[in-house]
Amino acid sequence: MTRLHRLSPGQFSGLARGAGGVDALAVLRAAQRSKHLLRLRAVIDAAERDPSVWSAASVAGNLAALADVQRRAPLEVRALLEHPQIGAWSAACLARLRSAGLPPVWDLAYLGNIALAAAVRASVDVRVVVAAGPAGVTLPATGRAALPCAGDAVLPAALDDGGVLRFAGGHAVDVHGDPSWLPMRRVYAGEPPLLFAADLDDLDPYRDGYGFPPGDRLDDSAAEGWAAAVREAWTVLCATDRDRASGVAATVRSLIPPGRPAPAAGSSASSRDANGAVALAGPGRGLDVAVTLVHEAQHSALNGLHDLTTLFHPDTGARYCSPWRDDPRPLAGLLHGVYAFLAVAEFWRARHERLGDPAAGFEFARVEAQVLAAHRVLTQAPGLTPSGARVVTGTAETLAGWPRVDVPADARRVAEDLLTEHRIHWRLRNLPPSPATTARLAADWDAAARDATAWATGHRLAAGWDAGNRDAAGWDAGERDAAGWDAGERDAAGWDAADRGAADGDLGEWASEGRDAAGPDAAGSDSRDRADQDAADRDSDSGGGPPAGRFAGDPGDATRGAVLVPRQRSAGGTLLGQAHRRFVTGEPPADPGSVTARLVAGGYATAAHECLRLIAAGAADDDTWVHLAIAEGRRISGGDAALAEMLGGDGRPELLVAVHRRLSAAGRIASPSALAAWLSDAVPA
Amino acid sequence: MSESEPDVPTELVDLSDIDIDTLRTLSDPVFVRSLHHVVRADADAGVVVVAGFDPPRVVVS
Repeated sequence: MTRLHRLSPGQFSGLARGAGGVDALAVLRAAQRSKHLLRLRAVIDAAERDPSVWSAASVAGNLAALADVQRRAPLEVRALLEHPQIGAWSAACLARLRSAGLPPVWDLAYLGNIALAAAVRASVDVRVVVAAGPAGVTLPATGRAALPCAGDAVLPAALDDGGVLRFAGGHAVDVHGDPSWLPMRRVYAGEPPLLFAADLDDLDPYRDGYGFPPGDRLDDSAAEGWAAAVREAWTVLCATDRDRASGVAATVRSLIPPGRPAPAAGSSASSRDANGAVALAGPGRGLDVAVTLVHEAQHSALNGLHDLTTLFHPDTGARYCSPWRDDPRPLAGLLHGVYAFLAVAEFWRARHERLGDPAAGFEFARVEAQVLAAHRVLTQAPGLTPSGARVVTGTAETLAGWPRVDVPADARRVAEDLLTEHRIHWRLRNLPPSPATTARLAADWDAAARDATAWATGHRLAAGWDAGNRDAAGWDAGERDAAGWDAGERDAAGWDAADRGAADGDLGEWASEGRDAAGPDAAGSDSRDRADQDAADRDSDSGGGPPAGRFAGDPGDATRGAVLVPRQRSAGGTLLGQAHRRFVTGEPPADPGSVTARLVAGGYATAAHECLRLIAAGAADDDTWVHLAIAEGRRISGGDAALAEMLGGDGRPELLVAVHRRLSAAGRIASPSALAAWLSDAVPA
Repeated sequence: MSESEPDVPTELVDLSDIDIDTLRTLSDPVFVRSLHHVVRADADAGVVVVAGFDPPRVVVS
């Protein structure tokens, strides 16, 4: 009689709080080995139902060989069977056995490659049948015999004399020095007790489930580049948070370089099927790699915990806005985002507090705001099991327990604005009103605009908006009158003095800070921008998940479940780019007169003015509306309440933008303020 | 947290001490339930992949 894996309350509590100790992570690793064996049993059971496949793939013989090696070298087989790539193989093989396609003889024969890998690692002679590909015969987590092969094939193989691989056709490869033997490279960093060791896997045929293609065999120089970056990352991580470093070392087993087309710099991925493997775009700076390792180790830990005790029910179709992704995310994705970025936030907090890195303060503020926003949604989302609810509670305890971090108010303000920017963009992309609704509201607006009664009763239709369509100056006048914008800002001297003065003051300080702060971090800011802009998973419009059918957005390129999100909005002139220039690299703003530069400087009135000007000129894009939303939401005086409300947290910016665009397309550019006020009356909340 | 608090219920059978030959013979209820748990979880994840949305089978960040 078998028994289940045991997870103590203390181990579970640590994992639920986002930082399982090494003993808890050891339980997860042991559970992965059991999971791989369960899948192997499922593979055997499925293959046995088809005697021809069973025979063609030599399943019985390969199993006997693996069992034989296990008897002679149990520890080697044990270590191999818990390797991430055994998980990837077993998942792929089982999926293909279940599918309606051709019987996966090659995949089944790969069991011989596993047995041969164990034999090589243990220097134990064995006879098997292996799966060969155009590049040769790959032995998981061990190496590749580079044989001349015309294509995929299944062929007899053996290990003799503890180290000579022999293959059908007379090919022999000595794993000790033969140039045809490509050993799996290992990357080491640090030393015990904080030693990081992982495969640099550019060989395994099942390393293709990460949304971007895996790379070919690295040359020695490229491999050393990866090793150097990992060593630098390890130094950074150990200096920042030794406990977190221990967790990464206990979790990450394999690093997978990308192929072409190359993913965006800073991209990384982990797989439920290959727990402990991390695919990442490129070695990059040590700091970036350190953040990536922390992030992906969390995904692996949460996946491992979910394997052990189910955290959420099968997908119900509900989708949520996650602060790190442009596409609607299932509950599991949101939970993963919170869990991963909780650790990333802690990394930045530790770096800020222990090392006094001022740039880390902004990074912490930004990630903390994202995590808090996503966590609020999680607490209300249906679909969690009791174990999943305990993870949400545990992460809440961690968030509540963070000491107040001394981050400048400006950095926190911009961090919140970036969160707003994402939320509004997400709504515009994923919650557009139907064309019928937009058309009806536009028609109603047209009718109301001509309805003297409506005008008189205070719908605040822009005075002369109709004339304004013919004359921009007329619109301007109407807008100012209707929105009360004029009162606070028409006087150029007024907004110049208040807003521009503030902005200029900030810009001056910024430039000064930039000169002082520009240092080692100045180089490579883009990669860090990208790393965190996308190192990511984002909110529902009302706290609950709208049904999947409401979303009009294409989830993107789905490749075996991966949705890659371009690392956008992080270039220099974007809000994130400007923020990084100010708070991370200390560079002066790109285009100081731009809306994004003004937003970062706190010049909200002038930013709003410019956005309204672009809208009036028919030159607005999504960014214009999003930045208007940020600016209006921040203005303490002189702002427009109706506009701020419609574009704000409880509003429906997508509705305002869609109707405005519909009217504009018909040649009628409405006052955003007046339209917002009218919509708030016309459309029930 | 009390030391007497029971372990967290888990769904994976512990095969740490199971060899390959024995693996092929297991049929007790705990093992079978765990086997079904893993296969079902894989299938659930697979279905969602086909539907176009991503489950955490692959978490791309």
